[in-house]
Amino acid sequence: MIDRGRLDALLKEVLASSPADETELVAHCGTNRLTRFAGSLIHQNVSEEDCSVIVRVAVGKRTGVAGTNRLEGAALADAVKQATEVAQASPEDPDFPGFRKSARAPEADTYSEATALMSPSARAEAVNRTVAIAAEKGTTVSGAYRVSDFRFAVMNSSGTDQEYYGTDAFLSVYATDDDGVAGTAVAYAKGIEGIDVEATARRAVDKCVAGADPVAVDYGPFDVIISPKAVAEVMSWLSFTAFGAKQVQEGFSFMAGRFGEKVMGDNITIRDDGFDPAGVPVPFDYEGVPKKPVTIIERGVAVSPVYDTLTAVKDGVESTGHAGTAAFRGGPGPRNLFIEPGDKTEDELISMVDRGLLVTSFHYVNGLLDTRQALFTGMTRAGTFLIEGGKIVRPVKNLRWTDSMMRAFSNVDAMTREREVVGASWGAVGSVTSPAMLIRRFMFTGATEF
Amino acid sequence: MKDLLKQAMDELRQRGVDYADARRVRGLSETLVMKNGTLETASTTESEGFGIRVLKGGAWGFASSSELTGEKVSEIAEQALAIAEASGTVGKPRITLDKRPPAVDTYVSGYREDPFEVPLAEKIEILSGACEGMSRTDGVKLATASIMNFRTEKLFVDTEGSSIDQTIVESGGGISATAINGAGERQTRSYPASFRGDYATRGFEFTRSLRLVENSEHVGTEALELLNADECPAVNTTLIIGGTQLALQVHESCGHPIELDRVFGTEASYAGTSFLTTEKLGSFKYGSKLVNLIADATCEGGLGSFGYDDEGVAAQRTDIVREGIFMGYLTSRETAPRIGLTSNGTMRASGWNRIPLVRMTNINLMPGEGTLEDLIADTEDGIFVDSNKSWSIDQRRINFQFGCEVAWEIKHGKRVRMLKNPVYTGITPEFWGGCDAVAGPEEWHIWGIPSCGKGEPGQTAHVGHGVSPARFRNVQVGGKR
Repeated sequence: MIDRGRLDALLKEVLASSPADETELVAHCGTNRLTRFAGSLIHQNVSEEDCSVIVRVAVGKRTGVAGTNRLEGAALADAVKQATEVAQASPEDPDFPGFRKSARAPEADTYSEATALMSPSARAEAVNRTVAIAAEKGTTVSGAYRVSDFRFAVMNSSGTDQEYYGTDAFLSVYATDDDGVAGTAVAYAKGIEGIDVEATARRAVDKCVAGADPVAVDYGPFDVIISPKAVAEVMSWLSFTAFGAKQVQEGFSFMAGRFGEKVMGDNITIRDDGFDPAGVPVPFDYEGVPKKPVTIIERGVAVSPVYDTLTAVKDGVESTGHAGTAAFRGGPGPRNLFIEPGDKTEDELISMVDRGLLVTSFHYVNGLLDTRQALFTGMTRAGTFLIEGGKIVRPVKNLRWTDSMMRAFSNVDAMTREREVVGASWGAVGSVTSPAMLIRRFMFTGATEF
Repeated sequence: MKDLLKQAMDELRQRGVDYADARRVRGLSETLVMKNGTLETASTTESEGFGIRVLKGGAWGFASSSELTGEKVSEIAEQALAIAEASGTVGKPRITLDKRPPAVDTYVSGYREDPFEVPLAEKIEILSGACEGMSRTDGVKLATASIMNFRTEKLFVDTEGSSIDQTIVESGGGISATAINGAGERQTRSYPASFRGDYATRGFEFTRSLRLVENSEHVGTEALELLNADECPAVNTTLIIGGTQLALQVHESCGHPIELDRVFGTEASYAGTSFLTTEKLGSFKYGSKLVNLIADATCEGGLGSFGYDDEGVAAQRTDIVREGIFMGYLTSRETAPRIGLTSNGTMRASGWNRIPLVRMTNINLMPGEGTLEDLIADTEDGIFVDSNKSWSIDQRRINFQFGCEVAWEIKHGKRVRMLKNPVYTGITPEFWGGCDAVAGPEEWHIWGIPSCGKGEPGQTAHVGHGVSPARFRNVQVGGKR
């Protein structure tokens, strides 16, 4: 892997010699390692080291982008030349605000050396522990243990010069019995110190054992308790369809035209904070702008989306540091979301349900049915249980649900005080820190065979 | 680089591995997205590197790097070996591969016009013309046009003597118009398919053939018409599904469940497993007698076509469903022997830094007879849907729900009104069992989907689905539910 000094020299040289009016360089260099297991055996065990640079240039108000992971010789200068040619051939973007100088982002606790140094045999040893825990209860396990370490740097011709070193670690455990009944649990943290392998495995195995011999229930409205993992799956979709300023400006988001209005219940507050160490910190964005805390929903009222520079200029505000990659301009998005907790335990939530469901996980959530109403669908997965008279009475077969998330999050009766950090499904570093929620009259619209 | 990788294979063979292979891949992609006349994304990215996969003691290891030096090749080979040895410490892995002769070949996909040689200005002119055409309709607030081009150069060598060079060129694009009313309601119409259009393993001549500019005005007017259309009712009815939506129906309810690695549980913790378990092979009634599905990596121009898969196995054509009976899987050198077969060549990786997985090729529903209009004329009472808007299916691929951009009510063999927000849902074998008509070859087209996700770390594959519109009885159609 190219060393830091050589890469810095290369980036500075390219920045200085760029023929464009303005130039921005975003470098991501690092290693991803992942051990994947199924049927209590490792079936995939991989390592990847890469260093790529995305070049964005401006010629007047025309912009172009080129990316490469060839850093030797003149390859990077070629990428600048190519981006410049693209810019010259492109129509002007009257809204282009130029590349701005950002102040140095504050330090954040983003790195775990033990994670960067974790060996394949250490990951295999962790998998062996999950296999042993599963075997105690006559189950087998599938899942993945991923660790990554990286350097992320952004420079531009206006003087922005940011870098940070980061790591993250993700573990999923999916236990199954001989009949295919499953239970699941996940863990996500800045580093392996935050991953409790045994506890995660035991949670998955316990769900699997409790889920044996599920029965079918008729679908329809149910009071439902959804786990932090299930909430995070919904929030990941809302990050894509609703919480970014581009989605708001294009009228795609359920929040468009509704700022200052009640869109969820009084007890729902959603914020993004790149520096909050309770999640997995991300100090600055792909434009090098330091993260600002953003309250997206406060006590049910739509307050603000997150911004990058372009969308901020359109709304006459400052960027909040949530730009995505220039290689595909999908707009800004939150990366470190927090849902304010309640004051209950999970057992107390269960005791509040006369007849309802406890859901461990969702599968194949899709938030595109009607984005203006935040109408979502999905399936339950790996541990769905019937609650009667305030107690879990039996496992049930999986159900399809289809409901507006505005309506669902307006009907949250109570939440746990304990929250979990769930790795965001978008794959890059980022997380959703959420409690479990009791939602009244959540709409289940179909059933499956298992 | 070929010599360095071959040398690494020699060294690994001497070290006593069961098997090893190496791939060097250079991927070039161009993405152009214009919105309301502004070029929102204009990027060209290249990614180049190599990966080495080692099977030792019946267990896999894989390592990869973007640094193309002899020293790095040796280091990565060592890493892959160490990782395989670590994999072998969990349980008693016994992975074996099928037997096949080594392949030495060069393959270049067919194309007439290299998309990377077409001047950018010409591509921008197409996008501008399309945005302008859609915007001619008052009420169209967002006019989006996109073109994407890909060029992938791959070198494959293994310890069994294979050496294969491939170059695959792909191109395509699409447009969409979104009309928004004063209340903030929005409706989108797309052409030729939603989610950035249609793609093929062809050159820029394919993108030109889409005639994005010529079709743009109609797309704009239809978006506005859709905004003012009636809501699709909730009803159990006869459903005719147009090609672009049927392609996704095949993808989700047939293509994914026939991946044999998924059947054996390797996606269990993530994308899920499959209801098509191995005891069903050769006897399970997947659909009606009209349902004939074939996996074909050899169709000219299909986005899932190639010369060799990423295990060096030649592209093939395999029966999946014959007259409604489930007959075959997509397999690999590792999975096929577990059901007494040899690989049918479907292992593909999304790049140098990913291992190959069993992926769809072109999963095609074979045509019946007649036109779409014949199907509609033959339907007394029903709904015709097309253009995907949302998709969801359970982890064994049984219960599905799809939302579409548009529907038309059919009464007495005629389309009588446009409907918005259609959704339909079903259980896979019941749904395909209700198929009572498939339109003919004149309607058949291979739709290219460049965004099929699978695996951890995530991989995106380019796949195709050849379909004609088809009719299904007793389908639950809803409005927004």
